[in-house]
Amino acid sequence: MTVCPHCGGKNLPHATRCVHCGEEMGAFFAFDAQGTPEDENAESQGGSDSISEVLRSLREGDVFEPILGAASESPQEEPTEDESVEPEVTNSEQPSGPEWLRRIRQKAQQEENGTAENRDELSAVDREFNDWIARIREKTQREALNQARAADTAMPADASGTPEWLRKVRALNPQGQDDSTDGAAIGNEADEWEMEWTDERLRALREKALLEEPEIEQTRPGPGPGGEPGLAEEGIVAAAAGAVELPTETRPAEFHNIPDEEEPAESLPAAKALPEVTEPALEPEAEEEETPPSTEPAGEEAPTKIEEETPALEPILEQAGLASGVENLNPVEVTPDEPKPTGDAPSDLMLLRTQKDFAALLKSMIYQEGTHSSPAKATKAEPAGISRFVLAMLLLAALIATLIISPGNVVPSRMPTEAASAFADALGALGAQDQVLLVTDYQAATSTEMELLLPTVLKQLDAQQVTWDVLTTQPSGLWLTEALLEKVDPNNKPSVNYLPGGSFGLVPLANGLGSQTPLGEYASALPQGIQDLRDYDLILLACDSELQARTWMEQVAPWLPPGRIAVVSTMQTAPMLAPYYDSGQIAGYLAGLEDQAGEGAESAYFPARVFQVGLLVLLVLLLLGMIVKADQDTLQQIEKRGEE
Amino acid sequence: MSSVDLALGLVGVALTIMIFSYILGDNLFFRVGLYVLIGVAAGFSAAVVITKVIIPLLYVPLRTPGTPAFYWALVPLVLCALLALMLSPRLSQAGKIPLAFLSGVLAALALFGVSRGTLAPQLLATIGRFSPALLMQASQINWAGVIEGVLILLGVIATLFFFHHRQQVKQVGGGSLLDGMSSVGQIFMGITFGALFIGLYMTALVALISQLNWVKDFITSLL
Repeated sequence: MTVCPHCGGKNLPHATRCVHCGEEMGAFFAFDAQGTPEDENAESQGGSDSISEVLRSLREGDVFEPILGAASESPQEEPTEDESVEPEVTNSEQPSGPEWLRRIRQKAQQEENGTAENRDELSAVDREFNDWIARIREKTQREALNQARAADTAMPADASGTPEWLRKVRALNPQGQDDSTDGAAIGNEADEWEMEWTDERLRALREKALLEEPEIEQTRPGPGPGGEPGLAEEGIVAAAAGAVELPTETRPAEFHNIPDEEEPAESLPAAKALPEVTEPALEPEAEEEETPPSTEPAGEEAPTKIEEETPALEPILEQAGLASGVENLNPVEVTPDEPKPTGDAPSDLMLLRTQKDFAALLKSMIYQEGTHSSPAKATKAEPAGISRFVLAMLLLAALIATLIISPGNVVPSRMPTEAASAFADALGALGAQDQVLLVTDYQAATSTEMELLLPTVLKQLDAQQVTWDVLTTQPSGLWLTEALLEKVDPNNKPSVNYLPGGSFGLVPLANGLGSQTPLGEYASALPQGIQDLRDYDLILLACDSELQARTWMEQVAPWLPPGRIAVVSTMQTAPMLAPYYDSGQIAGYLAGLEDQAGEGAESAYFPARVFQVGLLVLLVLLLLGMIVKADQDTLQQIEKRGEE
Repeated sequence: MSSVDLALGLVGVALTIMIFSYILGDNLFFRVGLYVLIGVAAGFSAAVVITKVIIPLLYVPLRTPGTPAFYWALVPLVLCALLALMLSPRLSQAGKIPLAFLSGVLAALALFGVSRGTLAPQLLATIGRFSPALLMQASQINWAGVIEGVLILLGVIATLFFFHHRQQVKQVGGGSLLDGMSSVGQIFMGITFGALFIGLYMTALVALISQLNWVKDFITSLL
């Protein structure tokens, strides 16, 4: 303790300015080299008494007495351990050296001890204060939640005659919530609430605080240490309860009309967990981590109670200089116009189950509004699994084995079909003065089958000295046709033209309108001197798709004389070409490997034996499938009859 | 075998095996191979369209303003611009103009083609089956031609009857005659689809064999 040289008032050892007169404490650093014996004696006495005086003033209510009056009783003053220990420390040190040096060392040691003790004690006081503030907040929140809970279940009449204000005060005790129906427990709690702030409890509190929390956290309020209620808080609250009369006629918690299902997710769990978590000192840290009690209310009802009780405590705290600690509490916002709680939701907000379902559906639709919705997944057929794998491997094994064993080019010797014969006749009728247009309209996957026939046909045309041009309607036809021409190796290799537009491009090509437009001179699919398809004597259409063949029949054939189109196609297109051949719209057609023999395609290599094996496997699989399907149908019919 | 042929052959074998892996079900290798093929085909198609269509039929005419070709090229240019406006939600209505134009032209072409290219010629051919020149040969009845004509007529009528009266048969319950005609039409339909399926299978089988043969030849050449 430092004595002010101007007014004689006592100040803290590290004070640079007197708190009484405001003058500079010039002798603060004087003890380092020029300390006087009076100052040293005063320091040695006052330094040990500083904390005790502060604590004594707190115990005796010096600070709160002007506020609380005589409501609180002054505890018995007892010497603290600091007072008894400090002289031992000073007396135990016996430094050697001159007298003046020994005094300096003694003075320095005393100052260090005094500063450490002051820091510990002050920090303990601050911690107690923070604990007290935190407990007030927690209890206000807890009370609000209790009020809300009690409003749901009608509060039973107090048969024991306990006053309403006492029951409210007891309701503040979190330990007594679970035992609220126990009369003995209530009595003990009442006694505990009225327990005074004794020096024994304060000492124990201080020791536990020093042992459990070596690091001082002044900014973070916490509950009382040692698993016991904060005594300082209880003492002050008890005093405040006696002097100011804590609001016993608390207004019931206000309820909103939103059904319980619409409650915020964080409010209900907090309300449920609060009685367990907010046991004053049992598990304080967990709650602070989840829901800081000083700043955030646990539920919607909590701010209401805080707003109600804050004005009652605020004058007390302001006079005690503690108002800054409660600044974070929400200001009073009493809304008298709000409806009083009735415990029941208004009838206009009652929803039936179907209405709730519709509301949930509408909510989900609104939520999905504007979002990309994945297309409905097509129900995948159940994978055949091992059976599909076995069948596929069986087919592959048969084909590969045949390909290795009998790789020869076996051309089936059979009579050509009528359509193939007509195709050969149409081709043989061409002479050197005729012009033929080859239209390639097939994909790379079927190029093998198409190229079994086309080279033979083109070589025949080349042998007959027929002029022929090439046109393709597929982008891939450009390089497929080039590959075909390399196989044929004609005398006059024609250029490959591309016709875009599909069926749109066929019509102007057939009727000649395309060449008559101004754009015709920029890019014509036909060579110079050819106006339209009618200038050709034969159009040799090489297509692998029945759809494309039908397009040619529908869009081009009507503009041409009958029998101007001959088709080279795959086997899958043959059934669709037959009616057009019967109607005379096409001069003839060749369909894949089956018509290879009719054209004398010995030059085209293809392992026909493998093809025959593949057909055999197909027949076996078809027969097995038919048998299995018939068996399944029979079993289903038997089951249906059994059910009937 | 050159190094390029060797590399391309290895890539081809790898892609073939990746596609064949579909036997084991839909897997990563199959999808990778499929995506490669589709991507290459799409890229090649885009290059062809640019070099064969856009440049000669749109870009070159637009470089000669004042000519008839220039004004003709403006029409597809405007239609393409309107179609591009569909990217904007506010201006998407303008994109319906070229779509409506295309739909209308395509519908007209389809109606014209079906009527003049398929329906009328096929009906005339069916009727022509009963011409005296076909039914009479050397002053005698060509019974083969008669039976063939009757079968074709029956098939046409039964098939049309199957499609047209299928719903009525289901709703009314159908009489014996309607059921019989519908069943006959169903038989003809089954024969047609069976023929298409066999043709499709044979085409696929040829493609499979050709690819296996190519792989065998490639491996043989390596050995």
